[in-house]
Amino acid sequence: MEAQQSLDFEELAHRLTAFGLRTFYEFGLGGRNSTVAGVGLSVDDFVSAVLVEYMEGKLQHQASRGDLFSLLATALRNDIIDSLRKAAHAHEESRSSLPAERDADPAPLSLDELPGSTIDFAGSIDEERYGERARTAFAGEPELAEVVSAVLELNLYKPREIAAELGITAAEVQNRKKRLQRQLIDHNLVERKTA
Amino acid sequence: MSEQKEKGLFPQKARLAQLSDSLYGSPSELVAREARELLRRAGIDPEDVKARLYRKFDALAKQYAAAGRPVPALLKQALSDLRPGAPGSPKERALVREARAAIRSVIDHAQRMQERLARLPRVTLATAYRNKKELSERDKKLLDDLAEDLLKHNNRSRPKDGR
Repeated sequence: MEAQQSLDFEELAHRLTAFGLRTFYEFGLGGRNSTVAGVGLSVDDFVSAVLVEYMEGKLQHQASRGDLFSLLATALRNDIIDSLRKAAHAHEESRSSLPAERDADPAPLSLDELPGSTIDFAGSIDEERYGERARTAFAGEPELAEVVSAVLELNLYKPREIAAELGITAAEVQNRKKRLQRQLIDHNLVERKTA
Repeated sequence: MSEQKEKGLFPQKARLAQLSDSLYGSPSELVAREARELLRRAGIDPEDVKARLYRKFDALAKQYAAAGRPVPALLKQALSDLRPGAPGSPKERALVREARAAIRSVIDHAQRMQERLARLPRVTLATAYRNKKELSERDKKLLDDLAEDLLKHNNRSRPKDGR
């Protein structure tokens, strides 16, 4: 376990919340006050749950296997994906358990199912839909869009591979990744305001 | 969800992580300063993040206490780091933690000393030297003063209840 002297929960809280928010936006789940319907968990809930697991010793950190934040952030992202799986599963089960009455009027849609607020949970974690969201978010930013294309279309993952393809430096790729992260937040804020 | 879809989810999780890290950076690349900037950009006050977590962890610590279970050390540290009004920089918080640990250690040490002293038998001094004819009055006076000092010191070291 990491020496407690170097641990700082304020930093962990800020980094994990920012990472959780980013992940929510990546999967099209909305902002801080949104929850994954079906499981009812928000970014704050995911962050506190992962920190509690660590504090109670259920999530063990070994320095030889990377830094503590990476461990917690990876667990956080996995929890979010798992909750989307559960929500998709529950949604499918609840729909399939309803008897189809051909002659009856269709049942009114629940609030979750109304157009504009519907979240397709399975689609949220579908790779193609993930890519579509990224392409849409950065369509207006050619420098960012070309990084997105390099990753999604050419399957280039390392900064130096992307840099070689785009004819820029690896440092510039890193710089654009930071811009992608900021732009992801801005795009989602604008999208939510106009929705 | 179909069985085929279920089976494909584990590689899918790794694949999504790979895409996320390649597009926006791996978790370790998200440093604290940048994280705070992202939060502000999203309209979230970093102090509010701290306060919300503090309330949740405080409630959890109270649950531990109510159940008579010891509060985990990391939970105590989280409360100390997230407490409203805690020093702003990690260095300052580390200094406060060190100072608290040092004070706790001094207090523990003093309590252990007091317990040990309380277990010592009461000192009584033999005064047979006063009958020795070869000792001068000055020597006897010196020995009397020394005996008196020892008794005073011993009484001062004892707890007030006279044990």
